[in-house]
Formats: sequence, structure tokens, C-alpha cells
Amino acid sequence: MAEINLSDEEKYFIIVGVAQDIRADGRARLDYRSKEIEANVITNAHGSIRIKLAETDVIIATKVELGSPDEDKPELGKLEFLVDCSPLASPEFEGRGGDQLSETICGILTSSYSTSGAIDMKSLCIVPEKFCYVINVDILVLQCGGNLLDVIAMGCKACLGICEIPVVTGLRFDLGEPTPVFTTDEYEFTYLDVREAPVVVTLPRVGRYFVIDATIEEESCSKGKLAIGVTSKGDITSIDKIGRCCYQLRSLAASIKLAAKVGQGLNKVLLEKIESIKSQKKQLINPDFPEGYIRRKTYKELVAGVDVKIVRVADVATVFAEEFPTATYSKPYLTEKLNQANFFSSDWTSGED
Amino acid sequence: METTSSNGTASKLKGFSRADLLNPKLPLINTETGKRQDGRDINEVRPVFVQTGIKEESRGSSYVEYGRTKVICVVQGPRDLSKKIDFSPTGLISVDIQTVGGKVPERFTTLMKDALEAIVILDKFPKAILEVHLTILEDSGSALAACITAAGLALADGGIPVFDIMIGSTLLFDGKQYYFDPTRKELDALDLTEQEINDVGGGIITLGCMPSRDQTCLLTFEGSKHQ
Repeated sequence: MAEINLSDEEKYFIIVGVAQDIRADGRARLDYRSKEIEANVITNAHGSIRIKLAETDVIIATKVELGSPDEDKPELGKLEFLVDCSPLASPEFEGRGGDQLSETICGILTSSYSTSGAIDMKSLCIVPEKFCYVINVDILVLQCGGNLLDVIAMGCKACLGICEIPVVTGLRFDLGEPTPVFTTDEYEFTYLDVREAPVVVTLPRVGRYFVIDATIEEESCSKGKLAIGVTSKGDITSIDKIGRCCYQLRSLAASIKLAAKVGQGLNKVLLEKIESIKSQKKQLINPDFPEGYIRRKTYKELVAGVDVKIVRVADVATVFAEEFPTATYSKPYLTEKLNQANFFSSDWTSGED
Repeated sequence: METTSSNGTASKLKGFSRADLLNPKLPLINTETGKRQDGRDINEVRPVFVQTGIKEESRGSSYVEYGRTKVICVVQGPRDLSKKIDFSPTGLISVDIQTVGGKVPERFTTLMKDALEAIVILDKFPKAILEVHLTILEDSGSALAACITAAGLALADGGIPVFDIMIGSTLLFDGKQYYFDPTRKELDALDLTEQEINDVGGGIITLGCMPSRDQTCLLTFEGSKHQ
């Protein structure tokens, strides 16, 4: 993380202050600074957040795209994180300086989100093996005033919570391949369920004590920190040790308990904030909008809703004949022509039954 | 007309996806013998083989096998800082992890660097850089743990001043039991996104331990652990 150089006297002052439970800015060891969350600051994104915690300032934006699932996880959607440490935040980030920090933060976010099932990734799949939603979370660090990881994790949760995912209204069977059809109504969207999504609590150890929401000066007094992902139930989703420090096993156990307690409170505040942003949006669009989360339709439900499936030559001819009854070509003529052109590959037309 | 045209979806209707058919995910415990698929008990590690001094011309080197996971570590230096790198009052460490026919996650390098900086007494060689090269010859699970052990041994072999030798180990938790030293197949079989596991928790912990000081120099956990 971005660090500043402190003299030994300054470090001593901070460490002794922490030991007496009064920090340089008057907080106790387990107090958070006040945070400020601003929603939808970027109009092009599907959801964006600007989050400020004292001096730390981060913009997070989500963009939903259509992609294809990984081969080994054909029924899951994708969530991708990208952290950009702007040289504005710290001169250290100039050039490739912020790369290592970005990698670390991306790794922690990915391990606490994608692998723990915090978000129902199956709900982001549209057509198994073919199409899924890809949610890109772009994080821009504008200013780094300590506790960067917590702020980013909080922002990511809030941003995913207010991310507006366009609804798939149905499926079209193009040559037998199911293709999703998206809504054209900009106000027809669903939200992700982020109630189980984790926040990250970092615990730098200053002197003999763990502190929460450390300032950049306090971070410079500690050799390393623990980053612990916590859900609203107090479950741990990831633990990572950052920096050149060593921990005794019993202090690890104590810090994890502490993080779970703090994380639960943090989650509660954040969820209230997300709900208030959503209800504001709801007032703006339509106050009669149904309560709760609209569920995205699963693939089976989408398939059941399809009226006409063009999977065979005969189907194409039938649909064409129905759509254009006045056309000069007759159905048998079309069927013959399509068969001649070998329009469809034989492997699925023959394996139809 | 519930069947669709694609072969993949057709085979899924029989209960398997294409990926499942290629790599069948076996249950962790073989129900017939009551042991793991490779015949080990739950708390039994794979045979470990270590050797130091495998490369003459380097400062220190080691070779570690955890079952079929094989790692070579070579330590070079400490040598003078090149002019490109800024002055540093303490020693620096550069870590480079390679694998044969694949890509190592960037996290491994960061985690190893943090762990090595924690155990090496960096004040002993100011203005110098220590290079640690790791090569994963075969990854059959717990590769990071093997890397930790290999690096610890190579540092000791090279006579680099360290606080303690580090030992790495991986533990798999499937919600019911803890499995020591999981293989690649066991790690793949644990699907952390499955709803059943979410109800009880489950995950993978890798720990770098300093035995004589009873401290941890590396810790990473993925999954979900309930209180």
C-alpha cells in the first residue's frame, strides 16, 4: 500500500496512543471514520458509486456485458474486477508502480466474491455453455488516505447492489441456437442480491493492538495487516495476510473474531444505504414497482416461454409461410431450396429425436 | 421439444456437462474403503521428499516433492542493487515463480514475497537484493505449500540469515471434515459455489508456519467458514 515516511518519534506517538485507546484523530481502536456514499455518479455505467472515507476517495463503476461462461463452469456467470491506482492518489502509483497493489486487491476481491458463493453466480447465467452476464467492476482510486481495501470492498458491494442488470425478455432460436433477447425498456432491470456479499475488514497491527480503519500514518507504523472478508451473518469468506509480518496463531484467532464482529455491523449499515438508494430510484421511475427482488428467469423458464422454435428446415419454411402468406414461394419449394443449400448442418437435424 | 440442438446441452440433460464427462468429480471419500480416493486417511499427508544443494553454482537450492507435486527453488545473491532500483536501507527480495506449461496466479508471487520478507533478516544485507526463483515442475495440488517449504530450505541451504525455516501446508475443509494435503483432484472436486457447501461452509487454507517460533508467515483462505 502507499506508505509515507515517518520519524521514530512520530511512530512512537502513534503506537503509544493506540495502546491507550486514543488515536491521533481522537478515535478509539475499533471506531470507523465517517463515510460518504454517492450513487450513480457515472451515467454510462449500469451502476456506480463514489465512496469517501475521510481522505480515501474511490470511484467504482459496474458495466454489464453479454459473454460466454467458462468451459469448466458452464452454468455460472462471471464477475471481473479491475483496479486502477491513479498516479493522482500517490506518486508511487506512477507508471507500473500501482500494479502490484492492484493485483493484490483484485486477488482478495476475487477470492472473497467469486469462490465463496456470496453472490448467486448461477442467476447470472442465461443459456448454459453459451451466454451469461459478465459484470465488470472497475475501480478507480482517486486518493489514498489509508484503509483502501475496506473502502474498495464496501464500494464494490454497494455498487453491485445498485447495478441495474437488463432483463432478458425471451429467447430466439436462431438456427436452433438459443439466443437471448434483451429488453429495450431502460427501466426494466433487475438487481443482484448482495445480502450475502462480503465486506473486507483489514486489521493492521499497530504496536501490540489491532486497529480498525487505520489512517495512512498508522499503516506506516505497522509491518503488515490481515484482510478478512466478512458476510452479514459474520461468516468468514477469505483471509489474506498482506505485508512483511508474522502472527502467532492465537492472535490470528482473536483478530478473526474481532473482524467478524466489526464486519457484521459494517454490512448492516451498508445494506441500509443500498436499500435507500434503490428506493430513491424506485420513486423516480415508478412508485408502484413491485417490492423485493425481481428474479431473473432461468434458462428452463425462458425456453418454456418460446412460442416458435426454428430448429428444422421444415420450421423455417412454416414460419416463413405464416409470416408472409402472400409470398410467391410455396412451402415445399422453400423446403427443397433450403435442403439443397445445405443450410443446416446435418449433425443436429439428424439427431433431433 | 425439450431437447435442444447443441450436443453440450443434450448431454447435460443426462446429468453431466461436457466438463464433467472429461474430468469426473469423484467424492472426497471412497465409500467402499472409507478412505480418500488415493488410499490415504483424512489426516495423512502424501509422501514428502526433500533434497538440498541440487544446483552447484547457485547460493542455495532445494527440491521438494509433496506426492506428485514437484518444486525446485534456487536462491541467488545477495548481490548489489542494479542502478535502476532505488536505494534501500534494508535488503530487497525478488521472487519469481514459474511453472511448466501453464501460468502461475499472480497472487502466489505476492504471497511468497510477503512471506520471504517476513522470515529473512533483511537488515543483515543492506543495499543488496536476494533473488528467489521457484519452478513448479508439476502441480498436483498444494503447490503453494510446496513452494513455501522449498524456499525455506533453499534459504537455509544458502546460509541466508533467517529468523526461522518456514514449512507450508494446505488444508481442505468440505463442511464436515478437514483433509490434510489435498491433491489437485480433491481441490477441483470441492465446488465452493454449490449451495450445500454454502450452508455449512468449506474452503481451502494455505499456511506458512515457522515451527520453532510458533508463528505464521503466510496465510491465505478461500471459501466460507461459519462462526
